[in-house]
Amino acid sequence: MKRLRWTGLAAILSGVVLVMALALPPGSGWRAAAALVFVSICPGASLVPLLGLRDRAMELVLVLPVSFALVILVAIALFYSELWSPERQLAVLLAICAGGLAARLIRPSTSSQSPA
Amino acid sequence: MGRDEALGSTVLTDSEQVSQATTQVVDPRRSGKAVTAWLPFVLLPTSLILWLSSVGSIDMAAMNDYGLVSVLPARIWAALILLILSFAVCWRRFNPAGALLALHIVLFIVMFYGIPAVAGDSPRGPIVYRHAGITEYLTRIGIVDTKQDAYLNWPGLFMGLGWTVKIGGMPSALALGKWATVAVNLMYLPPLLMLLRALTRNSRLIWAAALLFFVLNWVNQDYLAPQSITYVFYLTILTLVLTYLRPLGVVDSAQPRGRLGAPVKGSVGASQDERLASRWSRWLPTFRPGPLPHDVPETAVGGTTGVLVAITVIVLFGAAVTSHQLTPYAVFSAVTLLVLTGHCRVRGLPVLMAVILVTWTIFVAGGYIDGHLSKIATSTGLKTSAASNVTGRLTGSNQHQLVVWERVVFTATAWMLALAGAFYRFRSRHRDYAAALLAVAPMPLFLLPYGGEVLMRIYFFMLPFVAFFAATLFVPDATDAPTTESSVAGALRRTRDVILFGGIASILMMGSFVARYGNERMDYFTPHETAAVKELYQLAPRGSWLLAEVGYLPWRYQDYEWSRTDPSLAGHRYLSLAQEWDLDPTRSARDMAVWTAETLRGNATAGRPPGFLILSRSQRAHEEILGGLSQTAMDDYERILVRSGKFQLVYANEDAKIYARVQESKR
Repeated sequence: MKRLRWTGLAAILSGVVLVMALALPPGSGWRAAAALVFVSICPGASLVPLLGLRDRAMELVLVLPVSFALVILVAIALFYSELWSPERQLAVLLAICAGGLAARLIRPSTSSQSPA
Repeated sequence: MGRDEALGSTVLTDSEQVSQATTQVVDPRRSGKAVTAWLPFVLLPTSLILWLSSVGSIDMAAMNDYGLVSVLPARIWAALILLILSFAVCWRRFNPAGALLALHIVLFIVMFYGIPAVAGDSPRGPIVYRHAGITEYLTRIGIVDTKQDAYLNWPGLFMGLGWTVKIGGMPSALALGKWATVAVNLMYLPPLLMLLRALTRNSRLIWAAALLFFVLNWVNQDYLAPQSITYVFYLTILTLVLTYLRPLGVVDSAQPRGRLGAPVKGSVGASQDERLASRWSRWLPTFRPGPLPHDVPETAVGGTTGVLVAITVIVLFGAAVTSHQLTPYAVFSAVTLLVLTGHCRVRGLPVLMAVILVTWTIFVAGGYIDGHLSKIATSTGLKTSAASNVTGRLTGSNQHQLVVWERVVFTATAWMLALAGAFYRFRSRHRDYAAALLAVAPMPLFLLPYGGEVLMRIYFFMLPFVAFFAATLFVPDATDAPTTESSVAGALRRTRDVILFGGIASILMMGSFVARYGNERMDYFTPHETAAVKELYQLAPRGSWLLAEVGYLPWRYQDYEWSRTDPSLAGHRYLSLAQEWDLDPTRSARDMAVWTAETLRGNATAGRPPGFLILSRSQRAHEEILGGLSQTAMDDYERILVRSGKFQLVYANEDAKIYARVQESKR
């Protein structure tokens, strides 16, 4: 778990919270907040540390744009293949996040400290 | 040299370690710096209290054609100026605290961009509602019909947004519209700081440029729209390229450099992946590596990390290509220029970007391009762009014309400040070549067929670098010298800098405010107007034709699609009287009333429901401000319609009326 660091934990937490929030009725503010947090954090936080940038500030900055980009590209792929549904897109995004987290656990450790 | 010191965190450069050592010797209380230490803790809360106590009392309905400035309480001005002064005090401290400066900018974003969200009742401007309608349509249908609308040739953001809305159980994307401007500006801040950090490591310069970016951003391209989110990608791509994809091993221009993949002394070595990439791009020309700014450490990475960064750039670019027509061209132009001048070593990047752009344009947006080829051809070129972006905008009511001229002067001032800053920097032998190149990189967009907004978009793409060069005027190199900080002369100089930067930034903020909120009278929608549109959707069965004087009202957020032949795709047909009038400006009010009655009757007799006409305050404001239909012509038009007996008033409130076309019996 040490290899996952805060980004991994944030990704797992945001994914779990969103899945749990789906039980809430449409129109719930908590569910909307969980979706926004997931879209802003989960895909990026799962994958960005794989870049091995060794710069926490830059990793932090990349989380949101990478998350947005992946949400858009997955939606595009599903729409143009006429397979889109909200649940399917969630499943694909969760799979990507899980894959990213698994890759971080498997691959050799790289330090992400800011060099002095 | 460390990486994070530029943003005020704890990792220090060699020179700053010396500087900090000096500050540790000098007691801040004795040197008089205690005042600057506690002053922000007085100014900041005062500013916040002033803003909170007055923002709710803004009477949006009382605005004139000068826009929001005409009803802005003095306390809001005072709050914003105090905030900027507080920032200037923190910024000019010997060792500025990054967190405190960031807090100032975050508060500035909320207090400057959040005024309409707090004072208004609903998202501003009709485009947000239209975007919500496209999002709703896409997620309801689940497929893309590019014939519906040009927007659907670049649907990426709408699809991503639609999924977020669906999975979050939100009623509509409009739920995000009201605070979107504040949210996207907050999103700009982190990549902007990183981008500036790739241009200089002078923390004072970085923070001054960051504040100026938000002060100078008057162009209103930051609402719930594809261009606002793709701008985050734009900033991030340039940050990645300038931080990690510079030529490997470039520390000084005198040093020898290697090509992509060549292991260069002092850099992270190239991996098998990168050598492979190098072989693939061997046929591409090699460019002499561009020099780094003197205070920026080498951060370029090779190996697997370099390849992964390049892939990340492509992923972000791909998302931008699918979401917006213009932003990918701005990215492409900037990256190409950086490669050609040796500031980016990945020579294949522009080639790959061009392939993605062309592929999308041919295979996805091809239908739109084919269908609008003649329009595109006639709206391309310098003369056409100049006419639609400059001369075409200098019209409208007297008050509005003053606002338009103020925008022109404000934009020119920003550019002149940047030019003066660039002149100073190059005279003082700084090597800000990358910043200068990126400042001019968006210029070719002026030739694209993008209508009357392309100049504003260019300004927006140039803004980080315009802000950077403008900020250099306030951060001469001498301000970094630690030796005189404790002297009286040093204290006086700090005070002068605070007044100069705070004063000029405040004046720019006021100019930016007038420019940004100059159309607010028509961009603002009252609760009565949104209620009337809601009622319109209740009254009008799907398939109805809906007519407005001008399409400047909060509609189209549902039933977006339209098909003449397929009833399942018949949401509503949205029409605008002003558009018809533009086609033949010589028509009288009577002619237009006849046209309205006939158009809506034609639809009714074609087996569809009759049409509806909606008239509202914002439409009148739009025509009065921009100088379209005259007040008397609109009044005459409405009077003739009512007298004709062919229209029946079915809904009215203070700010809107809805007329239904009476179904005529078949003879």
